[in-house]
Amino acid sequence: MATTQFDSPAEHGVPAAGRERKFSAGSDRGYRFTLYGIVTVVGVIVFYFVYVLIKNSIPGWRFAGWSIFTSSHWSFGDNRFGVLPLVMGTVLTTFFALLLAVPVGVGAALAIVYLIPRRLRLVVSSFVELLAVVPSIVYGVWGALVMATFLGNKGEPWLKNLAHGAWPFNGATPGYGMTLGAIVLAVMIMPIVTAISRDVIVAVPKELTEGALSLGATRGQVIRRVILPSCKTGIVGAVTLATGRALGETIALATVLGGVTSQSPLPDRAFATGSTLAAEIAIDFGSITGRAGNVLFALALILMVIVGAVTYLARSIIRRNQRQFQ
Amino acid sequence: MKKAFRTPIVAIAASIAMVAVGVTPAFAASESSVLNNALAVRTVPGSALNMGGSSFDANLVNAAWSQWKGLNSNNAASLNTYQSSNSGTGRSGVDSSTPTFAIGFTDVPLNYAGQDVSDTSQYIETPVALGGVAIITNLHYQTSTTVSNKFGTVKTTNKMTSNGTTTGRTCAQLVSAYPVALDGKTLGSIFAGSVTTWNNPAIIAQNPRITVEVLVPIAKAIKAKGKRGHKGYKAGVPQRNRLELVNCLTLTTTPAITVYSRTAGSGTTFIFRDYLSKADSAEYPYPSSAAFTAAASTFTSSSGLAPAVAGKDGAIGYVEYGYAIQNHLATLRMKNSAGAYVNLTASSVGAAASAGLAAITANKANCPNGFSLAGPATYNGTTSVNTQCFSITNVNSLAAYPISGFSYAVARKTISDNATAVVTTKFLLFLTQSGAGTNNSNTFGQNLAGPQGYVAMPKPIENVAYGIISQINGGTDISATN
Amino acid sequence: MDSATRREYIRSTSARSYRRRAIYSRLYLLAIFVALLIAFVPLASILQNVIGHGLHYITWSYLTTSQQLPSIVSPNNIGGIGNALAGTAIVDLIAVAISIPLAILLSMAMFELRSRWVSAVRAAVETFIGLPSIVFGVFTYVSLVLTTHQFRAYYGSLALCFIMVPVMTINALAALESVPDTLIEAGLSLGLRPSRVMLHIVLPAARARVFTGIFLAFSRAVGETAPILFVIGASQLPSLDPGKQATTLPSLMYNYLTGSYPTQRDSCWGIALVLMVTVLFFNILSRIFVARTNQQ
Repeated sequence: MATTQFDSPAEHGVPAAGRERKFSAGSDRGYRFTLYGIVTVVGVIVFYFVYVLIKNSIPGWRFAGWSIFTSSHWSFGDNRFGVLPLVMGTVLTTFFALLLAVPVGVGAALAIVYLIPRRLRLVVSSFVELLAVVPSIVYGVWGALVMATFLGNKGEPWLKNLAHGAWPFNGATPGYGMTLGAIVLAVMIMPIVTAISRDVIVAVPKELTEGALSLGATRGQVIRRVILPSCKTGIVGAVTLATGRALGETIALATVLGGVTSQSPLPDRAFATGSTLAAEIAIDFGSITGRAGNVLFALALILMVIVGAVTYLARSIIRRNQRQFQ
Repeated sequence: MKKAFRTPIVAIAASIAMVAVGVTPAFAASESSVLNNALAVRTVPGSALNMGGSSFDANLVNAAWSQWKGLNSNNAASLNTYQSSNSGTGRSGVDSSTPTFAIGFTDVPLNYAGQDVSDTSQYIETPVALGGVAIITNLHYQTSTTVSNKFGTVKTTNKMTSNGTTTGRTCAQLVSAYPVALDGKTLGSIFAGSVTTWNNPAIIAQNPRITVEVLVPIAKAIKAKGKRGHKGYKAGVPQRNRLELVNCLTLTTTPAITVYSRTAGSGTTFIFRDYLSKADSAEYPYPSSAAFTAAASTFTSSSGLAPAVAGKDGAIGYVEYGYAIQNHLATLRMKNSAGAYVNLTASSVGAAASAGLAAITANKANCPNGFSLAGPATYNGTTSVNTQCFSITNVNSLAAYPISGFSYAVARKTISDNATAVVTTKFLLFLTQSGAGTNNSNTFGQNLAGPQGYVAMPKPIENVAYGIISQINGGTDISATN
Repeated sequence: MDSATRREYIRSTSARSYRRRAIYSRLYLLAIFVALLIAFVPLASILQNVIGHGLHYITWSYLTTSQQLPSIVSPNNIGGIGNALAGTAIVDLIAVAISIPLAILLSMAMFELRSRWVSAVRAAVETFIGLPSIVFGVFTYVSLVLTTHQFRAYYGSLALCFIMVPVMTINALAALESVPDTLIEAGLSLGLRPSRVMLHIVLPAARARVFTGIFLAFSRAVGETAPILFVIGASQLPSLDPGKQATTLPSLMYNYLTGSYPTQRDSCWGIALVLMVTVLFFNILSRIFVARTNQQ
């Protein structure tokens, strides 16, 4: 996922191109025609994209009926289309992945900036960002071949023993399942959080830290009370990007989640298997031409609505915070 | 009747003879020339055909496809590689106005699969493979065991011996000599979630030979009192232990059973549930391809289930036999309806096929046409389904493996594009026949069944397949010149 | 600093409280150090597995021979990845050839034009960046594969364009906007047509940043599996014909991961190593261009 910073040219003290510049492409007819043409073509493609998705999902809505939202029984081969387990699966895996990844990511970023000597900083942070470059299919391979056996034979039984078999650490420990999915997702989004947090933390003005230290604050207090509050917006932005990636992750989760077995909307225990919207589309893709296949388009639309809603919510939080600071 | 057919070979031959009378259709005298012709495609269709579906057939169809495309470059350009997933995808891939498969493979006949095929009369459905569903397990046994009771603690390591005629073997060696055996009822309970540990008495009762001797304390050690040689000295007595028989199933490294299942739509599940509906009808009233709800995890294909079992200690699952071989997994011995415990081998599956076909042919009241895939006119997935005209599970024969089944290929009956029709017909013929009587009899598809973990279909079924394939385009493409 | 913090500092200047605060501070620093170590563990595990299990696959014959189908009698006969390398090359190169001009032209259009229609398209492009890639695969499948009943390599390229073009466009747009106004006005005052100004002045000035976006998008697209998996089919022959079916490294890895034979699943590590080296190469290239941008 791209981690570039789109810093506005206004920061460089140069007026933003285009804002004050007069629109002068009018004189160059061929140029303007080409540009408008490109934009129109792209616009048509975008419209066609939305049209195909909606059009193909309508038979799906009809085939599944209203029970698609009310039922908790998802069994694609049996023509049972209650999406609640999938929606909750998407939300829960993302939530727990964020729960694992954000503290570790922000903490690692703080450590990189404040504990690692300057000369090593580039090396260490490149190492951590290396994880962001790994393609999702490699995460799928690692999750299915390495982490599944480790969790199934060592990790989950250990947790179960620790809790003496109490809920939610009860029942069979297959290795595959929502726990493994949350862990794989957490590993995938952690470098995004680290990279962006690092950029934001480094950008905090030195005067703030030096002022606090001169007042007698300890380094821990400085980080907790000075640095983190001023980085709040940036970190929320990082978390937004990470959430967007986690919600849409397909291939890595398709190989490790294990499929929906129970008929309850929420997974009934920590080691339960489940599925997410994106992973289910990939797994059931072979039947997309069958009568049930249009339901997959409905899933895609629901997923896009969720991703859009979460991104919009996060962006409005950022905008509200920015307004507070101004 | 059973005593007369003591050797299985005689029994199989006799059953085939009985079946051949009832089942063999009349076919063109030039069958061998038609088969010879099926080895090479003359006109390559505009775009290469796709095929796929059930993972039950995957190993056989892949091997047959490799062989067929190696015979001729036109063959290679006409047909793409098999896409293995599950039976539901095989059927839906052929159906619909925009089919993705020219040939779909399914273990559930069309008329038993519910609503997913709109009009079954537009399709032909032919048996292509005969195989067994292996119940795979991943069990490891402790090599040393410590017994603690009120008399003390003792450890038995690597010296665990077994009684009777077999001495000095560890659990692992014993189990490889006498594989774990189960009957249908216990197996059904495991997959229903009512039996959850390997040391369940129901399982142990069926495996009396895998016992080892383990030291058990029977008398406490008594410490010596006083100093030696002085008055009032009482000598100490060491702890006394005794060898007791303990079943290996109580010594597994993981006692909990982890059940793995296929997702809904799997034909392998259908064959398995068909068996369970006969052997454990209380818990499984009718066959279906629904997943097992008690499973810890579900898999869309056998190629995912088998390695999952291989990676989890104490797991149990079910796959077509070839996958068990590929992943070096132990299979269970199953009790058939004649009362014998049988391993999954080529001969036990073959015995199931021949005994099953004999039973179908003898069942003139319910199956007037013999082996037939035509089913109820409507099937809504929950009514009791009668599979008696094609099912060979749980047959009453001493040598038969009870969870055996056929798998089928589905194609359109009327194919407008001639080149597509010819390729479909030729490949299906190549796959379903063993080519006896032709010039290259060894190359035909059914000869690959043995090495791939299947059993070659009996000749009467091959003839049935030939007859069904001849229905494509009314048989005009089955000729020696096309 | 807010008043609560100030009060805390003023209250806590005594020696006893300083020791307590020092201990808390040490614990806090230890916590973030532990977080850094935890961050390394999965990376170490992935690298160790990919290199440890994958390195012994990398031989010339593995990279050049094509995939074979193993059978029960010859389970080790899986061949190499030559067909996947050829397929990856053809699918990705065509995707890049389409994406780069389209992205640059689109960014130019967003830079020059000011209508509501253009801002709407810009919002759509920004939304596309965050969409799950499976959605593009579904769209390409329905609109291309189902209508022509064919799987073709360039369908995969078109699906990849949906992923690459938005990223490249937004990056290129930021690059264009970072060019100082004075350059543009100087060019216009010299009498150059706006198209010439763009082509000869602005684009060369923004060159480094545009390349950053291109390489970033490319390194992401090379590793993409979900959109192309269902539209390119599969091919065991190393063909460079975009009209035929193809196998790419990610799609081969997915097929092997769900394959039946342990030898297939194990060779996933070899493919993962090749894929990671390729992706890393382009990612490092993009960082070099970022460094060049900062130098300017």
